[in-house]
Amino acid sequence: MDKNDLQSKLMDYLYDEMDPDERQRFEKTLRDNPDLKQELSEMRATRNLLQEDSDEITPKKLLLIQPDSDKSSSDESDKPSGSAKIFALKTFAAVAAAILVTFALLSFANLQVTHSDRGTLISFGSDPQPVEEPASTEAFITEDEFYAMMGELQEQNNEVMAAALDQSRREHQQQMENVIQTLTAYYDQRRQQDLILVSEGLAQLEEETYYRYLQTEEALEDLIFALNLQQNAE
Amino acid sequence: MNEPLLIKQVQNGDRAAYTRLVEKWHSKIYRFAFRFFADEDEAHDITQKTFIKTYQSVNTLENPEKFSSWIYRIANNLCLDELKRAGRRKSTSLEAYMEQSAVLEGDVALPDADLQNKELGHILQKALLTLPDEQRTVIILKEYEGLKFREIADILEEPESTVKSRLYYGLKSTKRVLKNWNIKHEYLNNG
Repeated sequence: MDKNDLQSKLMDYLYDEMDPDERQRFEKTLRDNPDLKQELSEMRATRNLLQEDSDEITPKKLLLIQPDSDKSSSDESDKPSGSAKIFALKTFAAVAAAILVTFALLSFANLQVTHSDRGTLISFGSDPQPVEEPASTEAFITEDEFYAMMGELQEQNNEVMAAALDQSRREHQQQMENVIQTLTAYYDQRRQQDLILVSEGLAQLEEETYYRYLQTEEALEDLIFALNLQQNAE
Repeated sequence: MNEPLLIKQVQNGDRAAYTRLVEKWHSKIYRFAFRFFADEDEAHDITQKTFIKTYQSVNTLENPEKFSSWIYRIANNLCLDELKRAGRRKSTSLEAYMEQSAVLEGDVALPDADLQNKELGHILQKALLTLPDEQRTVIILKEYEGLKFREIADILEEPESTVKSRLYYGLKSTKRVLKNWNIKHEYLNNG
């Protein structure tokens, strides 16, 4: 009996897939070979340990157990699908909600719309007050005052513009700094992840190589064992 | 109802029969995939894909008597495809797992036997992940699904002798892995 036969019979015996005659013959072989008996015992122990993990594994519910629509009948395919119905319902609800919110806001702001010969007046809050006409021409300003006022306004505008530009420049600079920081953090994270992946890959390769080495060693041991067995038999 | 008849009904486009078939095989396929990956989400995905594939190609199954082997073969091929797709990163090494799990250190006492068994279950699942894929598949089908060597050979389309050899080396490797980590010496030595 060569090594492969021995392994094969050992598996048949271990999992009780032998006919009675063959079983008797193998038990005799076991009695004559303490090493083989020990190996069987270890295999049984490993099996017992594996059976320790016999907890009930409860599957999650399947999402796609219904067949595809390609086999569905034509009358069914004419009907809107469930998701289409839900989408239509959601759109209707959104439009209704928008209208309600608009009315609520208008009511809250006390919108007033009045129409007269001079045009249409739209206002929020209390009733619009009539605009008083100037009492006399003395209320008007002179040309010099007008230019002085314009100059003052221009000056104020310049200051406001300068402040706005300065603010905009600062905000832009801040945004750029934030973008650079985010990009730096992103590339750093990517680099770390790549390093971890490379490291994991190397560890996996090392592990697999180690087990292949052990298997080879084991196979050689088995070969020597089988040869010894054969020599003993002779 | 016997399975071949159910398969014939599915092949004739009977949706209710297909649903019954899914109900019958759902937990088996999920269990197989879960043992293969030791991950619930992966198992769920593989189960979904298996039933989609089954539905799409059930008409190509010439012999309904062979449905069991056929569906396990689909699930196993999907598992192997997924490993290839993911670049084998899903098979976490036992070493990495052990580093994360302080519970396994010899001097740590576990509060009760239930927790200990639960942890042992996790370790066994992870230990299976360290085996070569072909050995892991055979161990799952034999040890946990309880199939005969002939049936496993049919699923994997390999000779029975190859299946037995993979199981032999798979068991030996499992024992070695577990022993390296001092796991349950009393089981391994006094079985």
